[in-house]
Amino acid sequence: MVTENQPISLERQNDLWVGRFSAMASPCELLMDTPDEALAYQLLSIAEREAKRIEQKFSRYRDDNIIFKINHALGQAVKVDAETALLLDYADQCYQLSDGHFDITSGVLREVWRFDGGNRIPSRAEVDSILPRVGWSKVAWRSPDLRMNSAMEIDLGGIGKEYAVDRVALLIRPHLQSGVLINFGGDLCAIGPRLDGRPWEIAIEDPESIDKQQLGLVKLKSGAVATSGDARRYLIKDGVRYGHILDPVTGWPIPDAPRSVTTVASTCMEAGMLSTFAILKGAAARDFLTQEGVEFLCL
Amino acid sequence: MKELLRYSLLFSFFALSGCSTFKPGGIFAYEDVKPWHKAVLAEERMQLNPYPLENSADQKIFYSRESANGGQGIGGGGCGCN
Amino acid sequence: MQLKIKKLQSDQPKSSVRSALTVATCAVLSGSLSPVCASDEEEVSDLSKIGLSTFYYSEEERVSVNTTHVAIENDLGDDTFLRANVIYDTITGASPNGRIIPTSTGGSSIPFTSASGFSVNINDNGSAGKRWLTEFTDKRAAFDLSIEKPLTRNLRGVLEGNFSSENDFTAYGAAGTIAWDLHQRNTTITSGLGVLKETVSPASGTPLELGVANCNDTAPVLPSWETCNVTSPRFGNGQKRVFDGMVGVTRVLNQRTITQLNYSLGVSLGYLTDPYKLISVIDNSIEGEEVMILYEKRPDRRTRHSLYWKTVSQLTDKKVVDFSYRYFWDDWGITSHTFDYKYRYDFKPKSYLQPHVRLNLQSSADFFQRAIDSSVASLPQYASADYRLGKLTTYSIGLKYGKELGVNGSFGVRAEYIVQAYSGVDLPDMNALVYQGTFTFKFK
Repeated sequence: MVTENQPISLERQNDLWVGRFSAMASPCELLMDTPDEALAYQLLSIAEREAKRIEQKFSRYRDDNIIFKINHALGQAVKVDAETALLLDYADQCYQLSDGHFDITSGVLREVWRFDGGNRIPSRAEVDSILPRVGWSKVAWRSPDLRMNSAMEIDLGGIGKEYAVDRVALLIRPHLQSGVLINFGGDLCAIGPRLDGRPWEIAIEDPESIDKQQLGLVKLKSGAVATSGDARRYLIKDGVRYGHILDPVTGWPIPDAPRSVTTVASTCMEAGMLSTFAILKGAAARDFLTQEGVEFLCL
Repeated sequence: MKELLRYSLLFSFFALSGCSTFKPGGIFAYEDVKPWHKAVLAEERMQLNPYPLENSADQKIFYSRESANGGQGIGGGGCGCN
Repeated sequence: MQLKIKKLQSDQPKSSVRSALTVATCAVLSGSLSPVCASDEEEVSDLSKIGLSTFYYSEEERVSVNTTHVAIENDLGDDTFLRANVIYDTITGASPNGRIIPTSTGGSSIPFTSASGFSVNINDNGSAGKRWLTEFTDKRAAFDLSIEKPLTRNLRGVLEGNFSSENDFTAYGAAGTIAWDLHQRNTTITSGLGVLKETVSPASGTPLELGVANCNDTAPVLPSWETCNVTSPRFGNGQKRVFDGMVGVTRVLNQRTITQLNYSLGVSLGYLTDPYKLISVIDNSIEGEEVMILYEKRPDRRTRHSLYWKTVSQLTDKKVVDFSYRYFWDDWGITSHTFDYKYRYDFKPKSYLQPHVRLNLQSSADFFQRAIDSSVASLPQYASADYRLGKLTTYSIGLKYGKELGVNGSFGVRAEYIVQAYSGVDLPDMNALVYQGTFTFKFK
């Protein structure tokens, strides 16, 4: 999806205050069910400031943050701050819980896999040459010190956006306990239902269909919805579709992965990780989510 | 002794009816289980004493009709069973 | 005593990846007191449980028992539990008293009138002419209270006190168990100790062991070692002290199987004889007719050992097997092998059928004898004709149906058929039926 840098805006639409801005390469939206315009603007500012802060701090595209420092430490130990430590602990736990399939060091695989809809897939030799640079177990992480081989990189892109959604929810809650829906490019969190008690209705659309056919409707009173996968990024060769979710263990795309998985949970980080885990299970995605008792939609 | 052997074999047949007992996937196949893989073991029916009310009744029956008792644990009190 | 092997690090719901993830995400967001995270914690604990059971046991032409059992578990928070059991039994019927069964060619039966205890009614010729049976009725109340508490992060302790009382019997005791979790709670080492004090108080006191209960004055020859002195002295209550110790290892073998091995050692001291059991003295020169009845005598010490191995394994999500074997041996010469097997089949998500088979093979005690021959030179040091100390085999087969009622309740009904067959003694097989209904309910 194309995201131009959207300036911050606040409008009244359908009895709601809708705030918009761009952050983390996504269109961000804040829906607020309140008659108070000043409050709506205050909450929007809080949301935009926090989203930008997290983007600045954890984006791998910048050269002035902790991620850059870690990725260019040339094998030296880096001492991280408390917030980064918590996120690294979380990434570590997710690595364990997924038996190594969720791995924040897997970003380097993009050097050989370019998902542009074309048909150029790397050779086994090319993938094997990158694999030694992938593997969270090779990273020496002991809070708050991180030391890693200079050829490796970490990327918090898999958890950053959901973290931002949950952080914004935390900061808004003291001001308004109900009637807020945060939507950062499809990762959502509802702080309480609408003022009259109605749930937020979230339509899940088929991203590939031209007329945006609705596949499902989630009614959310509180909690979060997240989606993993992206039907637009793939390669096709010899009739075989290679989705863009790569398995860091093999270096190849997850076979038979669903094109997208949408899950519902109590926080956005949890929903996001559950949908990521599901995709990483490939053909077993549905069974995994059913067994875990998660409300989901699989494409 | 022959009787014991016969019954042991019958018992083993029943008990180890989960075939390929020692191979991966069998009853006694060993694996190091992580805390987050204990969903099955946490089920009520998987506990070592899942039916305490029935177990207590059985122990009383057999305490009063046999000479060999206990083995499962300590406590529970005495009985002047006749 | 209930020591539930700790299931998970906290009372986690069935989906463990999800719950682990909830815990992990709350850790990241916790700096800010997310209300979501706080509410997740509170759901889990503080559920108390109550269990009710009604149980009916009936032996053909022998004993019937009716039992009501109430079990309560109170979750006091912080993984501390208070548990109590209250059990009430009524027992009626007739039990073999150790005398031989007369052969069909008759022979006169010796009337037996003993000092009747409150719980034991003696008929002259036993129950309906069956002098080898003694009728009795009894009521029993038992109570125990225990507390389970974590001592350190990996150590749990349970302390229990128990008490039971019948018309002619009282027992009270205490026990303690410690469980030590290792290897991320995949291994648990348990160790326990228990003491028990039992007192049997027949109505006119305990009889002289191997003393004469009655004899047939007209018998042609009486043994040289006994005179027909029917006024055998009586003594005070019989007291017994029992010490039990146990050490066990429980091990998680794989995601679907858990196994336990226990070794138990017990020592019983004091009055171990059964004051109501008799032993016939027979004269083989007159076709084994009973000429005298003596009270039995057992040693005043017994050391018991047992090795118990149990495994529970889930074969598929519908099938769970639970099987155990116990090897028992003691210094009275008794050894026993007990096999138990249960197969649970959940034919619907919340309903199950569970067939059960059990087999117990027991050898006889050294001093067990069906009767004493009147021609022996002297009385044996110990003698008992109590069929429970003899060579026997117990077979049981049963079926249970269980169902969950909503989230917090469950009930079960079961029936079992038990047959006990005796070797080397003249007792007919015992057949018994068991019916039991149970109901459990969780509440805040």
